[in-house]
Amino acid sequence: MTPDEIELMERYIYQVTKRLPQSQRKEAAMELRELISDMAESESVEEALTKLGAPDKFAEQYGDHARHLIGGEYYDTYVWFLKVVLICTAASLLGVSLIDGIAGLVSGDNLISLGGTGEIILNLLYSIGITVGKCVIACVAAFGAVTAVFAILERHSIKLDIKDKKEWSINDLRNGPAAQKEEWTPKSLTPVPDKASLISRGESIVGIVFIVIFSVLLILAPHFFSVFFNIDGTLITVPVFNLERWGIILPLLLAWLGISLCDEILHLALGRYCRTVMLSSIICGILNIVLSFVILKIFPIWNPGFAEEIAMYADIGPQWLSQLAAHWNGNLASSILFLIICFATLLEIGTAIYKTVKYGMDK
Amino acid sequence: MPADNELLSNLLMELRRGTLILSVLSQLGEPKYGYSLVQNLTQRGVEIEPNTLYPLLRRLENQGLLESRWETAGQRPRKYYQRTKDGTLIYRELKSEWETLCSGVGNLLEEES
Repeated sequence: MTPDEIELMERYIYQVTKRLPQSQRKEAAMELRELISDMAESESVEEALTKLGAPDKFAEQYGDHARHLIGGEYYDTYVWFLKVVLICTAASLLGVSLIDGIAGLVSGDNLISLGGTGEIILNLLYSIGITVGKCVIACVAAFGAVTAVFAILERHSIKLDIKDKKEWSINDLRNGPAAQKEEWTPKSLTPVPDKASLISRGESIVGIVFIVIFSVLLILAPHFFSVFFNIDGTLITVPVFNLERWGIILPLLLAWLGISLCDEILHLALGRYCRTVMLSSIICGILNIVLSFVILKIFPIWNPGFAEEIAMYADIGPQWLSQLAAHWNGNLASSILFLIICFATLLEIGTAIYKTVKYGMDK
Repeated sequence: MPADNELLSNLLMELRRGTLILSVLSQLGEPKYGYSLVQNLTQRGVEIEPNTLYPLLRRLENQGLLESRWETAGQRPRKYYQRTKDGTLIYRELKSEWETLCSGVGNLLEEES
């Protein structure tokens, strides 16, 4: 081969191998070098490469790694899950917009600035436009998050499958194919998993709906978490959360909800209590306890001026306001919430361990 | 119709897929390297593209049916593939299955024509 031909061959090899997974590249380059050199003995390198075809097409065939994001095993669960999450996201977002709109009308903010009917319609159209836009963005984000979790699950199980296959080839093939030809008899049927070990969709859906609605509210309408009261026909709201520091609190809250969502997805995808579900419950549970401790006890999550703001209206507002102002204690609220979260999480971990040990250890 | 051409080529690919494994296994009682295998098969009327052959060889090796070694003594490094003991056992099973299948399908096609 002339230096020009070698250059051409190396270019081709580079174009092919850069499209292959890192782990296959070195071996593939050596194989291709051997192949093209062999072909070039009876024809020119150019002819040989033309025969092999465009590098991207060649690489597509050559690499035998998975070329799908979510395979058949998880697809149905994925689609169902996606529907639930998207419906929840859109519904809670529409709910937020509707309540915001009505609250705006009631408090009269919009009405004062409104002139004629034309302007009302224009304003309405504008609000609808904004809502639809928010809806699209939120749904795309939800779609991405769910897809990412399922894709990770899929990849993880592909790796497990490959490991299983290798074990199979070593253990079973050693005895020859005859060893595998064990006759099937009805007696070899494994028992149906105990009903108590199955995780129902109904069980998961409550968790998912709660997580999604709560996420949408926290992102789009943290001001909903407020104390509302009416003074002389004006709606007064005092936010419970520290909205000034919301930028650092929100990501932590979302991480907390995200971990719970991952756990729910795993529960649902596997469908029954087993070691993986138990491990996921334990890991997600511990992470959530740590995160909620950080959020509740370290971060300034509560509105620091809550009691004072309430106290300001205590004289002119409803009676319960003065009681609330007197008894409000952010630290105590944090501690109570943290204890509740710990209790609920430990209960869930306990359930997972109990059900796995009792029914699900065979897999 | 172009759609029909695509359908036909997909069906042909499916039809050939299993037979290629058998063809490749049949040739690897003795060690052979990639391109010699392509030529060997082509001369005997079994067309196989290199980009089909190499992944197939790798898969069969992963499944324990083939083993490979790089031979660096010659003019250029070459990877030689050969059937393992398990590969030979599987090959014999596949071969006898193929013969049954051939006569069966042969009967069916004869009746039809």
